[in-house]
Amino acid sequence: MFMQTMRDAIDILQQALKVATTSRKKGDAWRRAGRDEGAVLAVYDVGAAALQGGIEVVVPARQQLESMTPPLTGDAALCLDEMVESIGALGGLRQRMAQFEQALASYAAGGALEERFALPDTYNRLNAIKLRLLTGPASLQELQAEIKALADLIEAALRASQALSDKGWAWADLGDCLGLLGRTEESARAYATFIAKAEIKSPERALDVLKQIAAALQARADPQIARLQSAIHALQGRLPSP
Amino acid sequence: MGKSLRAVGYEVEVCPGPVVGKATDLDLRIREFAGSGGADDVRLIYFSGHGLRVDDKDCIIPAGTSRDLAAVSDSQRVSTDLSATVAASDVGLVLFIIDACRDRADLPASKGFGAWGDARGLARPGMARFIRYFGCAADQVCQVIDSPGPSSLFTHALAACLDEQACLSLDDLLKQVETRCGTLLDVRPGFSPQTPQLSCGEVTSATHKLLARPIFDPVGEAALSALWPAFDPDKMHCLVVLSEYQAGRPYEWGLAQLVANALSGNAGDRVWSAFRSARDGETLVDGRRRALPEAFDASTLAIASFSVLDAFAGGDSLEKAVRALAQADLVAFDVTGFEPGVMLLAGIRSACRRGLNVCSHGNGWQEGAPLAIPFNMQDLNVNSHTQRKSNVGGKDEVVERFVQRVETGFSQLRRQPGYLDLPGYDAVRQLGRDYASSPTIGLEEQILLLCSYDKQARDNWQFVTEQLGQALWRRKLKWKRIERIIDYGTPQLVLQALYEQIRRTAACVVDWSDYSPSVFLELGTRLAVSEWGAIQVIDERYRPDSEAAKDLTRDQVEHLKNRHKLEQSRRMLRLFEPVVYRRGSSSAASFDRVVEVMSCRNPTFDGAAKPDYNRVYRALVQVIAEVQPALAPVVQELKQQADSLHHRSQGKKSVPQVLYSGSEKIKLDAERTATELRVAAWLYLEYRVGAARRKDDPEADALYRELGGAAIDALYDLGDDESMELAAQIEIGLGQGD
Repeated sequence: MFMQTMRDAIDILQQALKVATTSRKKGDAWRRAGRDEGAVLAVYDVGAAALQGGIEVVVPARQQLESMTPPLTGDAALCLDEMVESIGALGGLRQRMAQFEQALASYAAGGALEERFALPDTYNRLNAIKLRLLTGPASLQELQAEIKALADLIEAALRASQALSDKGWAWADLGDCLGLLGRTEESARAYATFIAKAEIKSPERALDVLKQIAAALQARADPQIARLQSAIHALQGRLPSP
Repeated sequence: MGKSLRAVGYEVEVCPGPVVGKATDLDLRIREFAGSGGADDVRLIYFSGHGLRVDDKDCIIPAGTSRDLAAVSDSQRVSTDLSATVAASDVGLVLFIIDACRDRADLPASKGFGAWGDARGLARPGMARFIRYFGCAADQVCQVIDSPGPSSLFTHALAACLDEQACLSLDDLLKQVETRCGTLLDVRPGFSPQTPQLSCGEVTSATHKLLARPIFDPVGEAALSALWPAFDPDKMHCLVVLSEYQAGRPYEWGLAQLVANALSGNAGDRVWSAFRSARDGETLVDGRRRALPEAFDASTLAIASFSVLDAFAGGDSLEKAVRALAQADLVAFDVTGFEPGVMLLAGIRSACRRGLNVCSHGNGWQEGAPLAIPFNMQDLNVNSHTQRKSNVGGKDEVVERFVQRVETGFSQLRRQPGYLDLPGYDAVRQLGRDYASSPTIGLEEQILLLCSYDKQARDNWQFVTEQLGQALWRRKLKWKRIERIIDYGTPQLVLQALYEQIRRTAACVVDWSDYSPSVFLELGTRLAVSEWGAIQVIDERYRPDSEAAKDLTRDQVEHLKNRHKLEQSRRMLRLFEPVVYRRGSSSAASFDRVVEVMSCRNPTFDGAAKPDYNRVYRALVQVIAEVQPALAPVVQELKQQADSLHHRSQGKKSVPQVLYSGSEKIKLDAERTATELRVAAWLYLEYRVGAARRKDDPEADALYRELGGAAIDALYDLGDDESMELAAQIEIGLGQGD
C-alpha cells in the first residue's frame, strides 16, 4: 500500500512535469517571438496549474517522505526527486509570470527538501538566492555567505561523485555561484563544462536569468555588480555566435 | 545380446516363450514390431536358432518345431522377408539379425535361384528401410564355439563388437564383426570359414545412407530426442553443448550441472527475471508475441543438453542440434580445449541468433588464468566451470559467477540493440546499403579458402591453392582469385571482410587440416549462412587412425595433441565427407573432384534432392522465423533512433548520449536529428496509422502522445515560426491546442 502511494505520486508528478515543460518551452518561445504577453502568461499558467494541482494531490506522499530518515532509496527516493523538481519547476514558471513571492515560496519549499535530505541538487536553493537578488532588496554582499556555502556544497558533491559530473545543471549552478562570488576563472571553467554537457538551449536560458539579475542589481546600484558582469561575460564568451 | 544392445542405446523386449514356439504367433509379433514406430525409429530383431531356405525364401524355424515339418508346411516356419510390412509403415529402419542356418541341413531345402541370404526374392526389393544381417554367407553355416562357453560364433563376435562401442553404423559393425569372426576362426583350425553378410534389396543411395547411419550410438540420436519438441515463445529455452572432453567424464561435475544449478531456486529466479525483462512482449517474425509469466517454475523452462558427439552422430542429429541452437534463448558452450565440433556449433549459433551465449572452459582452468583463445574469438569473455575447491557449505561461487554473467548478459541484450557475445552476427548481415554489396560472388570472381594460419599448416595452404588453380585450369574454368582473407587486398579489418566473404562467395573451400578452432568456427558460420555450403578438404595425414599420420612432423604432432579429438573427428568426417588429399602427392584426383563439385553445385537446381551440403542452412530456414524477433515497427525504430541520439530525460538527468557532445555542432546535429525523427514518427502515427487504429491500440496511442509531447518541446526550443506552427498543429492533434 505504501509503495503504491509513492508510485502513484511519482506518476502524477511526472505527468505534471511533462505539461509544465511544454508550457515553459512554449511560453518562452512565444515571448521570444514577441507574442501577446497575456497569451504568454496564459501558456505559463497551464503548466503552473498542472504542477500546483499535482503537488497538492501528492501531499500524503510528501508527508510520508518528510517523516523518513535520509538517505532514501527506491520509489521513495524517486518520488522525492520528482517532488523537488516539480516544486522548482513551479517556482520557475511563477518567476516567468512575475509572481515573485509565490516563486520564492516554491524555491524555499524545494530548498528545504534539498537540505533536509542532503540532496546534491541545489536548483531551488540557488534560484531562491537569484530571485532575491533579482527582486531585492538583498545585495550580493549580504548573500555572500549563503552563496559560498552553496558553492562549497556543489563543489564537494561534484568531487565526491563522478556520476554527478554528468549533470550539466550542477555545473551551471556552480558556475553561477562562483560568478556571483567573483571567482570568474573558476566560474568560466564550470560554465564550459555546463555548455558541453547540457542541451543546446540550456546555456542561453541560464544566461537570460543572469542578465535579468544583473539588470536588477545595476538598477539598485549594487557595488558588486562587476562580479556578475564578469560571470555573464564568461558564459557568453563560450556560447556559439547566434 | 540383450545386454549388448542396451549398452548401445536400445530398449530390449524378449519375445515370450509361447510366441517363439508358434510360427503364426511369432510371425505376427515380428510384423507388429517391425511395422510400428516412426521415421526416427530403428527396429532391430535378433533371432538365434534354426533357419532354412524354402521356395527362394529365407525362413526361421520356431523353437520346438522340427526342420522337416517346417520345410513342408509354410504355417510351421516364419519368413524373414519383412519388406512389405516395412513398406507399409513409416519406421525408419528395420534390421533383422539372423543367427540361424546352424548346420548343413539348414541349407536350401528346395530348388531355387538363390542361396541363403539372397535378396532377390524379397517382396519389395526397393524397400531400403529393411535390411537383414545373416550370421554367415551362402553355403556357409553359423558355427558354435566352445570358449568361453558354448555360443554362436557370430553372436559372440557381434556382442563383443557392440560392447566395445567402437562401431556406430551398420557399415562399421559389418567390418568389425567380420574381422572378429576371422580372428576367432584363426585359432580354431577345424572350423569352416564364416562370413557374416548384410542382405539388402536394391542398393541405392538411401541404402548407403542407412548403412552409414549411427544406429549403435549409445547416446547420439537418443540424447537429441530429449530436446524440446518445439519452440514455445512463452518459455525460456536453455541449451548446454558439452565437449568431448566432458563426454568422456560422465560422472564428473561439469557445465551441465552448473547450468542446472544456476536455473533452480533463487538463482533461477534471478536468471528468469533478467531473461523476462529482455524478452517479454517481444514480437517474433512469425507474428507470435512472447508472453512470459512473472513467476518462474519448471513449466516455464525448457532445458536440454547434448554432447558434441551426439550432434555429429548423423545428419538427423545435426539438424536437431542446429534447430535447438537457433531456438535456444541461452546457450552454454563447453569450450574446453576449443574442440572443432564445439567451435562449428558455436559458429552456427553466432550466425543465426542474437541471443545469450556463455562460452565456458573447464579442465581446471579458472578465470584470470592465461588461456589461448582462437583468433576469431579473441573478444570472447570466457566463463570457467572448473568445480569449486570445497563443496562444504556457502554459496557456490562458480554458480554465482555464471548467474551474474547471465543476468548481466540479458540486461545488456535488453539495452543494446547490437549486443553480441559471439562474433559474426552483424557482420554477416550488415553488408551495406548498396545493392552491389550483397549479391553472390561467383566462382569466376573469387574462391574463398578457409584454412589454418598456423605455421604447421602453411604448406597445406600453398599446396591447396596451387592444386585448386591447376584443377580449375584442367577443367577450363576461369577464375580470378583463390584467396584466404588475409590475402584479400583490402585495409578492411580481417573479421569484417571475412564474414562478408563467408556470406557472399559461392565457392568456399574449407581445409580441416590442423583442426584450427577458428576454421571450424568459420565453417559453422558458413554452413549457417550460405545455401552454397562449403567444399571441405583434409590432408590425409590429419585423418584419425590414418597410416599417413606418421608423416606428420614432430612439431605438427605436438601442435595437434590438444586439438585432435578422435571420436569427434571420426563422426564429423563421416558426416561431412571432406575430400581427402595428400600434400605433395602428384595425383590430381582429389582436386579434380573438388573443382567438379564446386562447378556443378547449385542450390536451386540441387534443391529437390535436399543436398547434404546445405543441410544446416535448410534446417535454419525452417525454424528461424519462429525464433527471430521481428524488426521493430517503423515508429519504434524512429523513436529508438531519436532516443539514442537525444533522450527526452537527458536535460535533467545526464550528459548527452552522443560522443564528443562538447562539440557544439555534434550536439546540435544529434538534437536536431532526434527532433526530426520524432516528428516523422508522430506524423506516421497521425496519417498512416490514423485515429481509428490508435483508438483500438492503447500502445500506439500512448506512443502518439509521448512522441507528440517530445516533438512539441523540441520545436518550441527551436523557436522559428515554422517549428512553432508545427508544434501548434501537433498540440491540436493531441487535443491540447487552442
